Amino acid sequence: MMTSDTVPLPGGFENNVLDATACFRVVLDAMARPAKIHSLPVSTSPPRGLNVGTVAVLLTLGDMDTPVWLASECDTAEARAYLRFHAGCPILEDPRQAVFAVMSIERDLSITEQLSLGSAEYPDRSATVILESERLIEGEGPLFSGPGFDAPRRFCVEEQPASLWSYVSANQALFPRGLDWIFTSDSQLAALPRSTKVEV
Amino acid sequence: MSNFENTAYNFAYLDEQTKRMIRRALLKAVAIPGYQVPFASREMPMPYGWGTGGIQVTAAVIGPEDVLKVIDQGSDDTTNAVSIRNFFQKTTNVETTEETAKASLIQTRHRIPETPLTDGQILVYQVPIPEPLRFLEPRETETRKMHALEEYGLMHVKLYEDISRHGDIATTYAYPVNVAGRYVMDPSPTPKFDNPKMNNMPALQLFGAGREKRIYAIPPYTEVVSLDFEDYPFTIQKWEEPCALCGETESFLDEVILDDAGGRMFVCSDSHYCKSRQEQGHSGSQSPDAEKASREVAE
Repeated sequence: MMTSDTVPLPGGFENNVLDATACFRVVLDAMARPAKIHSLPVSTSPPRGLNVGTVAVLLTLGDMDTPVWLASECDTAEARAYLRFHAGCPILEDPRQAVFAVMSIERDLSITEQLSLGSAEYPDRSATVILESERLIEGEGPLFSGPGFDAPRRFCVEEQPASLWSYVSANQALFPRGLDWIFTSDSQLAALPRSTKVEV
Repeated sequence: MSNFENTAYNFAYLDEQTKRMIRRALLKAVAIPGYQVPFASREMPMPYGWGTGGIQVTAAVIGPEDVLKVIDQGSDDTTNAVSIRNFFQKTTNVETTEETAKASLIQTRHRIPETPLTDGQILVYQVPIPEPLRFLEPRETETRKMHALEEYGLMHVKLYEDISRHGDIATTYAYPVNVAGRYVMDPSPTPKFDNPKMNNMPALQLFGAGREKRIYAIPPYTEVVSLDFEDYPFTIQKWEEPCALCGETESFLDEVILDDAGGRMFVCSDSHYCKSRQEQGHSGSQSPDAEKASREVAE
């Protein structure tokens, strides 16, 4: 019989190997072609607090080597249990050590100032921010350019705070240090690596 | 979904945790074009120098829908290319091809195919020494600092010394490039003939160095500039004769020794490109038909 402190867990990938491969190709392509929206190749049932895109990224890339920090709006008992069981990720209280930081697009993004930016000698030792939203929108919003763009593209996110692009722009100025941004919804995924320039 | 039924291996040989580690390194490499990301390179069932870095990158990227092409010095049918292609056939059961345009994933040792690559393709390079400054400064701590400070004067001194000694920049392969205006990068020992193809390439370029445990990348449509001087601009190799089999004048040619009396011929190093040109009816001085024709004339 189920005791009161047991949380029922939704399942992870149907096929761990091939679903992770398909999701990785989408994330790789999103990083290589920033500000372009990709459809998710899988549909999982995420735990409360996380969306399908975030779960796809964390099941693909997360394991015991990647501490995850969850912002309060994502930090549910189900989400913690889900990530621990399916990915084996340590869940952190302190965002400074996080490899992946998960938060809603609607929140105050000043928390990203606490995340690791990497060092000048090891700029790869930086965090990746996963921003959850209802919908990603192509062709509207600010103009992006940089490596991976054959021509500048417009991209924005539903319900984004006004400060989002100033954070992205300030982050780009730190290049090669800095955060990489992955935007997720229940069916879409897009990314803005630190190399992408934004014209607000 | 997949017709992969070989239960002796995981799909693409590597275990899933290794793939995740390589995949995370690949994403950082794409986000920081030209920067060498350290990764925990595994032992592979073949010796270092056979492309263990490229194989690990390919194994972390390849999916059941991919069509794989493997080339070694431009050729699809030399030992290294054949053994790596067999390796992935055995461990993934993906379709393989020699046709550049048909491949979604191309692993290469030291050449970029002559047929221009397109958006959506991925080119994986096998890299022996990823650090362009290594032969100038042996200490990793120092080269890392030089990259951090964008201090690349030493590389220009090296190219200058080439000019003062040989009259021009004598570096012909592993010719250093600057990626997206920031990192100086070793394009792996490809002939400098291929450097201009890296600039603004629509395909994603991934580099894996197994022994040296580094992964780096060039995203699509990224500026790649070969280092040079205003008065000694970068130039690529030229040949005095066309390919002896297909008559091409614009491709990279290999010199093939024919006998011990100085006989030689120059042929395209890209075997598939040369073959498809011959099938289109192009011929050169040593084509079987041309030889027959000249013999007939002599008779």
